[in-house]
Amino acid sequence: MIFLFNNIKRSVAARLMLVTTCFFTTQYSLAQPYTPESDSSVVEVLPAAIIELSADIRELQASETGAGPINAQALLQLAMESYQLAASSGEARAYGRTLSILQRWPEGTEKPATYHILMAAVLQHNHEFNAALEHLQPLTSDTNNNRTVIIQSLMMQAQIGLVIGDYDLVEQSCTALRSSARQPVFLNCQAQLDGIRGNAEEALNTLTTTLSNGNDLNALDYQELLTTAAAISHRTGDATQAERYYRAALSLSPGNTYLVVNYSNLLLERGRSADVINLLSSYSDEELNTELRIIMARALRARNTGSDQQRAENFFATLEEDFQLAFLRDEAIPHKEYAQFALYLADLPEAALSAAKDNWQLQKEPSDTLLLASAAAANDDQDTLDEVDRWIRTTGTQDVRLQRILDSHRQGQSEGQGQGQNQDSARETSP
Amino acid sequence: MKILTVLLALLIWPAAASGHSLSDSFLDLTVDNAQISGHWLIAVRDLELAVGLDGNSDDQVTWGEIQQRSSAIEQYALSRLDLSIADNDCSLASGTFQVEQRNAGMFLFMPISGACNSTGDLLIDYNLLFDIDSSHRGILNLTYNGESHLRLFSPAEPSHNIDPAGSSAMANLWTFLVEGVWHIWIGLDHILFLCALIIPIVLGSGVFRSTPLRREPGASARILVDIFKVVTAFTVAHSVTLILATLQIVVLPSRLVESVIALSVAVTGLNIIFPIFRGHSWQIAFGFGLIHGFGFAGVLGDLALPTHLFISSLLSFNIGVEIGQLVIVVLLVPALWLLGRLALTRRLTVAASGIAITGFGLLWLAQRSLPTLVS
Repeated sequence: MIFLFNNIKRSVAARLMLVTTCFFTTQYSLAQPYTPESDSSVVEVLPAAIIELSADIRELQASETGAGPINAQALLQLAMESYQLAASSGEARAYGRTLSILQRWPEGTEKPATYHILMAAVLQHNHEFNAALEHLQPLTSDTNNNRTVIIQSLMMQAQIGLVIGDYDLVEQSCTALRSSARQPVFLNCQAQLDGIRGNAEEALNTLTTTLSNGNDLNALDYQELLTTAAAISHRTGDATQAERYYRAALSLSPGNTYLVVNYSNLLLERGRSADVINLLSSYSDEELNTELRIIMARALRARNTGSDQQRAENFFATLEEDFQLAFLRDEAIPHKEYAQFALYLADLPEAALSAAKDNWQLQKEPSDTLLLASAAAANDDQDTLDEVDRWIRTTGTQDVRLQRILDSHRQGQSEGQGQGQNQDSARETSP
Repeated sequence: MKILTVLLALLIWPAAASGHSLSDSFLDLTVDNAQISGHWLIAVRDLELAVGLDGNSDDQVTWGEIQQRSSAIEQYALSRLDLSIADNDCSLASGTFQVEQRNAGMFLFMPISGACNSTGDLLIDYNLLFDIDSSHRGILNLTYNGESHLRLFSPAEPSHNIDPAGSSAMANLWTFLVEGVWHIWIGLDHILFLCALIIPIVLGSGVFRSTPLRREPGASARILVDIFKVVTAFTVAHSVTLILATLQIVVLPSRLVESVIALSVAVTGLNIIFPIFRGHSWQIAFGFGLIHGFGFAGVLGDLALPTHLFISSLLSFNIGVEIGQLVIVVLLVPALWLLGRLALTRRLTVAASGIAITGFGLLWLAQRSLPTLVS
């Protein structure tokens, strides 16, 4: 199996072809069909989100059987309910359901702003960032739109800009939010941008002041501001402050994936694998996304007591199967997660670099850049490290972990040290 | 407005942590002599959404509930899958259901059988769940008359047309053969290396000496033998490493490979002006040919060799490379023969080709081994 992952070359097409045989041979040899013992044998316990979706579908089918196709307003209502379910549960089928409802929009009927926001939200979730921006940009520039619509569009546009590294778009969105949104919303947008573009200290000062004053802050503002403060503190190397902010933000939103991933990474970087395992053990397997499963496997390997090794191997096998399936699907390929898997778990530095490069074509958040630098260092790829260096000089990105990799590699080069040392330093720095 | 406010609150808050799998079904079919066999794996959760399985609404699906809904499941699934050959519909039927546990959850295992009454292109239409979940995909693993095909069904691509065995395989082999020829023609470094080996064999031989007495007997025949040895050695060497590298048995860093290929061009270019190989050309061709093979493999890696035609595609590519280099030899040798007839043109050709090829080799060597200094 590992041999096949070693084969993974530059193109996604090559990966798809190479994993195909592996997938169909291993899947069909390991998993076997069987007949349950009796009629009362429980085959599947349905998650709450599936039950709710199923009920909605039955209701729609019954309604359409009686009264024919539903109208645009009812479609929008259904799409909204489906999206709410998707956002609150993370159920992938609910996102797909939202999209299928929106795609039924009657031809010739004008699409309201909510339609475009919902469509953009689903596309953003599917990592189709440019398509999402196409839905948002007309909303932000149309002054006839409701103020709430404009603010929401600007916030989503800023978030997408941060993900794809389009900081001009973020700046434009934040500037527009300054005059249209509440002060905390604008401050958070600006702090996120400043934290990435070389003004981390200023951003942290603003956030600290805003949080301590507490004026006009609701629970959502607190969570957003704490999250931004935690991420910036993390990147600037103040682990104690970062942990304080992460914990405070998590107390407001315990299921927030972004926070759990970043806080777990902080703990892992500090060698606190037992704390990572404790933190992630409070989530069910279904709640752990791919990134968290990778972190869990790394933490289990690092702690390595009792059944840790076996549990880590189980996570490894599950991840391997998930990636094979993702490559078979050949869309929304999880390049970032595969790069992490290949670099930190599967010991496939070349495949990791290839995936990290693919990911960086799409996403340029600091964690993506850090992953690329780690993979490049593990491969002794000076060209890529130079590209990363140019990027952080241009944007002003401040990240002590990133800087450590670049410095260590430069030092390794100048001292003529071998690849092995570079690989070790890259893997020790966990994005 | 109330709806919008609720929605916006959800959009601001990031989605909950989720390890939820996307919806996929796996269709594994064999169509041989117009007979269809295989099975279809459909997630129980998807069937709950599509036809409703949890009859007593206790939030769990039992084996009994699946059996109670077996007719509805069969009717739903088979109405969403159509196979036809040459526009004639094939019959489809399902066998006794079972279940299968996967990472993504529990799946219903539905045996599939059927028959078609014609031969030709196989058209498969798939429409499972697309109206309910736009993210659903169907993954087909088909063996049609002994040839394997992998296809993905999506709302944007709900149909696939599969050629009968033979035609697509031949088209694939032809594609890789052309790629092989094309690669050596556009790969100036490989061409110059080959030219640099052949030029001294033709122009440095005794066949062009000014007086008949100084001409070496049998020189013409020896030129052809030497060219044959060089081309054969180069072919054998790069074939070996092309296969080893493509099969990932031996893997070298691409920068090292490309740098050594550049070095081979520079060294053989120098050999035109200052003969240093002296009768060892085929050994040099063999040695550097091993490295050129890794270069060819790099190209092949980007072409995504089809798994089921891996070896034949690899051989086709290699044959294409050989055809490409034979064409170069056939064009080059007569041209050199003509240029060698006059001392002036012979000397000019030797000097100009030696300087140019060495220059290109050194330039590439600098670009490939010292990228940061050059850029």
